[in-house]
Amino acid sequence: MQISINHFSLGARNIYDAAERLHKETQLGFWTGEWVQTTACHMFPLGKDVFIEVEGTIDAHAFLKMPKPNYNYDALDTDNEYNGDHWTGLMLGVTSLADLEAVAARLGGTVSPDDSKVNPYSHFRRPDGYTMGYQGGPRFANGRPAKYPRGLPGWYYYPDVPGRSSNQPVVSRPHLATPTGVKWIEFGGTEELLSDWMGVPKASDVIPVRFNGKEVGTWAVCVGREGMDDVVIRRPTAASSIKDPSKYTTGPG
Amino acid sequence: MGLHIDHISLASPNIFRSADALNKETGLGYWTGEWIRDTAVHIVPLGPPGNFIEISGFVDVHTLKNMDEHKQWILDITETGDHFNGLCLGVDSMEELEAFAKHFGSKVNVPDNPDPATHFQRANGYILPMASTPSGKRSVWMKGLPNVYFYPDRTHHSSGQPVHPCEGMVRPTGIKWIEYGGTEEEMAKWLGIPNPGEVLKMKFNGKSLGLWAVCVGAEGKPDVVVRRPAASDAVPVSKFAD
Repeated sequence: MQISINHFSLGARNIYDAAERLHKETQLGFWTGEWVQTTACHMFPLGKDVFIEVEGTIDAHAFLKMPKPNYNYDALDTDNEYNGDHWTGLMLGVTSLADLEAVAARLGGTVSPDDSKVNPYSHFRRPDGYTMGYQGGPRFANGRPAKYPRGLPGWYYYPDVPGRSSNQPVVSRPHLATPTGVKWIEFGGTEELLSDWMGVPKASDVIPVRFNGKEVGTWAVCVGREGMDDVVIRRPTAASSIKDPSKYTTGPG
Repeated sequence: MGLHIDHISLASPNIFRSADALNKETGLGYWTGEWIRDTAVHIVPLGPPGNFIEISGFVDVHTLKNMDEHKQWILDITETGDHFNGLCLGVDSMEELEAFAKHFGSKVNVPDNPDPATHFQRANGYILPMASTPSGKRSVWMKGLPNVYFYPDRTHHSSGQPVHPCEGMVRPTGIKWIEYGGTEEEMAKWLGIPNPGEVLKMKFNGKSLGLWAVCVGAEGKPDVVVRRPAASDAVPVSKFAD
């Protein structure tokens, strides 16, 4: 089974503000317009089919009706030097639905349905009418197993690689850096935990990950840039700003 | 051009959903990525001489922790869906804008603040300079009345930026007419001109003040009428009479 980094989710109070700051920090470009229901993303391609989605809630009325406490809201509401930005997800990719189903089954869950044709508004959409057809997992009908804390990577199968968010043109602006791919990521927890979750002997042999022993989740992403120094995007991981995870019935991963 | 319609603001609970719905309804394209503070706009160009609809809404739910009268108004007028909440007129020079400021007994909001956070910004880094009147603590939009703008940089006017491609896109040829609440006499008094109906292609429906519909020409196709309730239909202008 081929396992790769598919994308990262960077939660933001305001995706417009966060994307502009991330651009100024890295010179990486982004594109706009993708959304699903009450969430929208500005997309930063990182090279080699990987991207960051700067993700936030863009429907105030829907937010007011959402159950509280809200895990992502509470994490993002915690002040930091990045106006509340937190890493909210690492997503791994596999290259077939069969692989995805095997991963989900191994972890005791299921995969999301491929209903992008019949329920296009329950999937990420773009202004040109493109509906993203991907499937993800594992979904746990009776709650996640206790040994796997929130913040572990989600798993995805994106059948349309050219249509993937990593492979769309960014908005042109002066002095854009050209990303050449993810060099390494810094992750919380231990190698043993992530290896167990990934079903591999050693996670760092499969993806370029190093561990800091802190709360589980992404803490930093190092991206290569053509003709420039590598850039490290460092933000706290969401779990680090959640005092009592047991309060939450919903949340990432 | 003299006094003209510049743009129209359509307040939305979810600008992504509303732009998608308007596109499906009319075939009009839009572009994305413009924002100011806690609000973003998706822009629907309407054709020459340079008009657009800005579909505007909150994109930062954390802003609701610090409510004020204007934010509450936006929340209230979007609770039941899209509402037209602003008619934005335009003039061609700062001198004309200052004349309107004098007529309103107000001042011009001058685009000279060096803080980019006080201006609309785009995903390409462009920061939009614009001047407007009247200036005041409370927007005249809340009273169902238009304000007036001067854009010193027409080349970057929102009406002229490329839209996302979409299937069956309609090419807009400009505003044919708009339908407004109240009477022509009320509008004439507010703007200090005798014939706003003729100058601004306005029809008046006698309902509560504010914009109720805009008719846009479409190349090779029937005109498109975008009809949404005025904000005053959700929150009466009398709430802001003091």
